[in-house]
Amino acid sequence: MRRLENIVCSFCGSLCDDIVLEIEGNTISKVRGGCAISRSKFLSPIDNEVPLVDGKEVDFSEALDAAVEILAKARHPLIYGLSSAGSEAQAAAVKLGETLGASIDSTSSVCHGPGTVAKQLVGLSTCTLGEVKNRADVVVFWGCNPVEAHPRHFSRYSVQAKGLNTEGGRRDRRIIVADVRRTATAKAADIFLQVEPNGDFQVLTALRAVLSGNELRGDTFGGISRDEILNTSSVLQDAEYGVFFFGMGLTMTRGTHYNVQQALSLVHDLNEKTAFTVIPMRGHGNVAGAETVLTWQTGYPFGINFSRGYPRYGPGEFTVTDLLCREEVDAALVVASDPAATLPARAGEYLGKIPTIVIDPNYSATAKFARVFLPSAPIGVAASGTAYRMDQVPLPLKKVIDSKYPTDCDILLAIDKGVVECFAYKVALSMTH
Amino acid sequence: MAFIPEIHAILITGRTLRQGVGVADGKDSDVYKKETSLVELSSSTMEMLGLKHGDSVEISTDFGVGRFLCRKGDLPEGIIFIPYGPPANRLTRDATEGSGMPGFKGIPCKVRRRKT
Repeated sequence: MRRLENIVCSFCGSLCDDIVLEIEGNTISKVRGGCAISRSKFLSPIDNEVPLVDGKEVDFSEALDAAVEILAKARHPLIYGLSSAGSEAQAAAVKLGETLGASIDSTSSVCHGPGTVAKQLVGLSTCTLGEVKNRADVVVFWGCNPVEAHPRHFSRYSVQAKGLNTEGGRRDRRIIVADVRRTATAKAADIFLQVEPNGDFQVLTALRAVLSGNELRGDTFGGISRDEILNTSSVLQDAEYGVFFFGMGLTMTRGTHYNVQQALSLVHDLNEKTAFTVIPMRGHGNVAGAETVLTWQTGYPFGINFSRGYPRYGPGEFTVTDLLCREEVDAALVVASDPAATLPARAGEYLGKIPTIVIDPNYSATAKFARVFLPSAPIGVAASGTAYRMDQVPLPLKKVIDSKYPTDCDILLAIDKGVVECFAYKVALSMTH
Repeated sequence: MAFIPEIHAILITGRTLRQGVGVADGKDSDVYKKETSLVELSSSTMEMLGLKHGDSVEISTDFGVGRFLCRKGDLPEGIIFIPYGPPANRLTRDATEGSGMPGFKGIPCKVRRRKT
């Protein structure tokens, strides 16, 4: 039996790096220190899937050839997913996107994409989760529910965590939660702002107005009373070091990036009075990495198109839901994601009408109607790589057991090589006639 | 007591711990299938519709219709909650209004009690 310590769990954006695994043979037998999701992730059996073409089991190389053929023939393919892949695979996907002249998008466009657009407009006064643990005495959770989505966030970083200036842990912190629902996170709050659906922009605007010395006219703002606004504003200003976490309660509701723009501006305003920072509460384990890698490789974080030979940026134009609902792509390559289970039905259904290739360790809802399914070694379990935590800190993911399948990075590089050879053959053929 | 057969509400979709465990276990797992076919309703909404835990309701939006089993949630009146998953995605708005982001939250809907 092997015992491995300080293993990173790559399921969610918290990337807890203190997991202990016990391994017998080539099987993870025990997980210590992780949350319920982490235990499921590490204890799920691997290599249960087989390569498929048109639903029939084939050799891996045959499935790879079928994927190359589909992509080489496509006029406008889409590469999508990437947020549960390692950063090495994300870079390989960009390379393939450039070879193909494809559109490339990550799950960011249907989670924190609008927040990233706001970040481009306002900027981001941010910090690491280590600073949150050691310094933060006022913590805001706006439109996010870490108790259910990031189960160890409270204890490792933001609420009970004890640090240099927060030796008392929870006792040393004021917790503010803003949400439409009284979530499990809201139940742990000192101040709970129960916002009306789609009322976030109004509440944030009222808070900014008070901070800048304006008088509020009206009794309620997005469902929050004047007194609650004044009290919250005073707690925010009294912080020694405040942190504002936001989630999809801001990015998915009416106003999308305008909501986040207002939140980031509030943090900007608070820095006139005290120290305040903001961190997007990223969901997928390496969705922050997807944005980081795409940005350093293309200049843009998501919703990118290579059809003109250079990258163009277009949220609303080159983003997955728009491309699929408008039926603008004629083939799709899905990497470590399950759009059939996560996108609005019309978008997911279109993937069944075009040749779709899925690279994933698990047989997903999308894989069920894909033309080609290529199983891969799960990252952070049977493949090593890099993932970016929600605060943009890169962490190494270790390979702890063996898989009979290649990594998604190796599969993407092999597809790219195959497509380049196909294109070279096409050029050579055209020159002989 | 006469129950109202149908109410208008606002739909919110989102994460739950069990939905997350289901994603890690696999989309064909029982935990994922069960969790994503539930709808949370407030106590008053359940009373108005004459529903008890586990009863079936039909939820419709401008984008689709689905059947869900109900459970009680700590929600304000007029708000319903469904965990992310394929059943919820039959009801969500696919137009992104130029943002790339579909409408996963704040969607007007109708909740109707199904005959048992």
